[in-house]
Amino acid sequence: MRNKLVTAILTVLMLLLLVPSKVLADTGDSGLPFYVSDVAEILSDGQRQDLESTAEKISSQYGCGVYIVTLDDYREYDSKSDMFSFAQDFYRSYQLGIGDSKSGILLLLSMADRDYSLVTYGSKAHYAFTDYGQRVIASEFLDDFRENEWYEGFSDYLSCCGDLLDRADRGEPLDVVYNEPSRMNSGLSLAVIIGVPLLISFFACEMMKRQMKPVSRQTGADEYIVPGGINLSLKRDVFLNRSVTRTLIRHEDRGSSGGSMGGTTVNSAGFSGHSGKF
Amino acid sequence: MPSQVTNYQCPDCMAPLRYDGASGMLKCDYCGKEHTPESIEQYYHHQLQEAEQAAVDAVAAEAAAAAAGHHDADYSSDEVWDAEQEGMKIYQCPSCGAQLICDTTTAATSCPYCGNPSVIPGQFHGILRPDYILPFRLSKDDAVSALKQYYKGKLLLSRKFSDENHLQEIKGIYVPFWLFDGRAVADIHYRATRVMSARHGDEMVTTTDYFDVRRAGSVSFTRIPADGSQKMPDDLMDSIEPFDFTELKPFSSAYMPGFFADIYDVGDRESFERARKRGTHSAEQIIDSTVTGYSSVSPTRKQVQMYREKTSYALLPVWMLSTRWNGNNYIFAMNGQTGKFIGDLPVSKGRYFAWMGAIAAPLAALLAILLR
Repeated sequence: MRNKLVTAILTVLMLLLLVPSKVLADTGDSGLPFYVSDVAEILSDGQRQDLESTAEKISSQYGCGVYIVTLDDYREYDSKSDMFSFAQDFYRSYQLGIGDSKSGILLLLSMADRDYSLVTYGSKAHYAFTDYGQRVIASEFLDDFRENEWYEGFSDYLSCCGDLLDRADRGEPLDVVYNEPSRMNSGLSLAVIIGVPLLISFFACEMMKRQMKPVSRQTGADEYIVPGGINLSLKRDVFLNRSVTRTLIRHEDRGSSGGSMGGTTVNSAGFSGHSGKF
Repeated sequence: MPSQVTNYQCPDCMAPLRYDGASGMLKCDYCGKEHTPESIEQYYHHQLQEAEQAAVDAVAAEAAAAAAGHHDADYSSDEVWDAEQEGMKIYQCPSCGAQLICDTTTAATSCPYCGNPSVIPGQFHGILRPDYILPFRLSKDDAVSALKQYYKGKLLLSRKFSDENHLQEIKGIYVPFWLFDGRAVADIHYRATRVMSARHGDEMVTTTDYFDVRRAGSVSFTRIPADGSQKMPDDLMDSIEPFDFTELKPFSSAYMPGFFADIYDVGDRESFERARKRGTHSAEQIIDSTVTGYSSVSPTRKQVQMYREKTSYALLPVWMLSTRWNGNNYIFAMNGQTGKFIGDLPVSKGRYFAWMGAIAAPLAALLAILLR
């Protein structure tokens, strides 16, 4: 525990040294004066400023910090923790988050082994970013990151965070159980409400109709088989060849991310999220 | 000259006899006496022989007359010619003397003037004589009540149809059937796969084994029926199966009074084609069912032959009912032995759409609540 604390303090100090001074800005009551920190330098200045401006706007609008941090290798700061633990330590050490509950969401990229971690903290963030919502966010940026399209991935991340915070603001956080139907647009809902019952009633009526026309030719003669009249004289099964295919099982979700039961899974430290590779 | 027709008459009071399916006896409705078919057959044995001989003589005489270029002088040649040209035959009712005009396949009928049931024994002479007869077990009343029962539970049947339509005709008919014994021999090749998946570390390993499978065997059938009457719809006759052939009796015309009967006009060779298709289809399915334990099976080569081993000719009991409604005829058939009743009914469009609405509306309401 003591080692972790020391490591966290060292990390904070090193990051403060590493963070370019031009990105320092007022970030409300957060302990870190930025929303976007590109230590790995994968973004151009213009892109970083654009993202910073968007993140700041979303954060201040919904009262929930939305953060992006890129590092060359998180193990340079903490060689013993895994990516998810490191992201939690980072969030705590920099006192990220807005408001009394320190609500926020952090996307942290470590470029050396193409690791990422997505962590959320605080009541507002937990309400808006359910386990399902976090998977939706991850699916938005992962396809871009796999193509090394960093700006597009971060833009999608911010856009998705904005959407989810907006839904939560309206009292309709995106969740797997309760919110899927509400994602349907009204046209589709109407089509389902009319189309499905019509289809079911059509099949039911066709079955009734078939009952009215039972006359048909017989196709088999099973009733006239002589008892003991079935004689199987040859039964041969010859093995020809074998083919083997191997498929890699992806491990995108790790850490404390929950299943598909809905809601948000929060660990004992008050964090929710997961880590993986891109 | 009209061919000979025989009435089975009560030996006690000489009134016409009628075969009663429920008791299996020939009944006299006049004096109430009952007689076994065997006793009546024995009683009429001599008369039957005479009738059959008369039928043979008549055919021979007609052939000779045709060869000599002249016809029987007792009858107008035009009249006889016209009737035969139309595929009809003329018989004389032994009870009232009226002339009965029937088609050439009729073997038993009833006189439209006096109502007496008549049998035409000459129709069963030589190769036309059936091997077996399956006597009627169910009566006309059973057929009528079966029709009423048949209407019940048909949700798309217009109430007007069951209320307004009236039975136009109801006939108990001995329908000529060919019964085929045979053996289907099959030799089928298949390509089969067996797929297994297992997780090894971070990999899902899928193993597919390919097999060449071959099955050969035979399936023996007994008495696959196929009707030998052009007048009877094949699908209707197929639909009233099965018959219980353990109750088959050696043919006797003593079972026929009170019913209609036809002789075959579709030969055994033509009818066997239907039995062959049914036999090979069943054999294929049975052989297919022996290929088990695979993830997928598809046949690559099939050789299925059906060999005919024995053919019997039998008269089977069928009640035919016909009704007329809205200008259309509806024909129903009932197995005269088992009571299996079948026939197509008209679908009421109004009821069809009413049911569609009745099912769809509450479902739509439920979905609307769930998706709200």
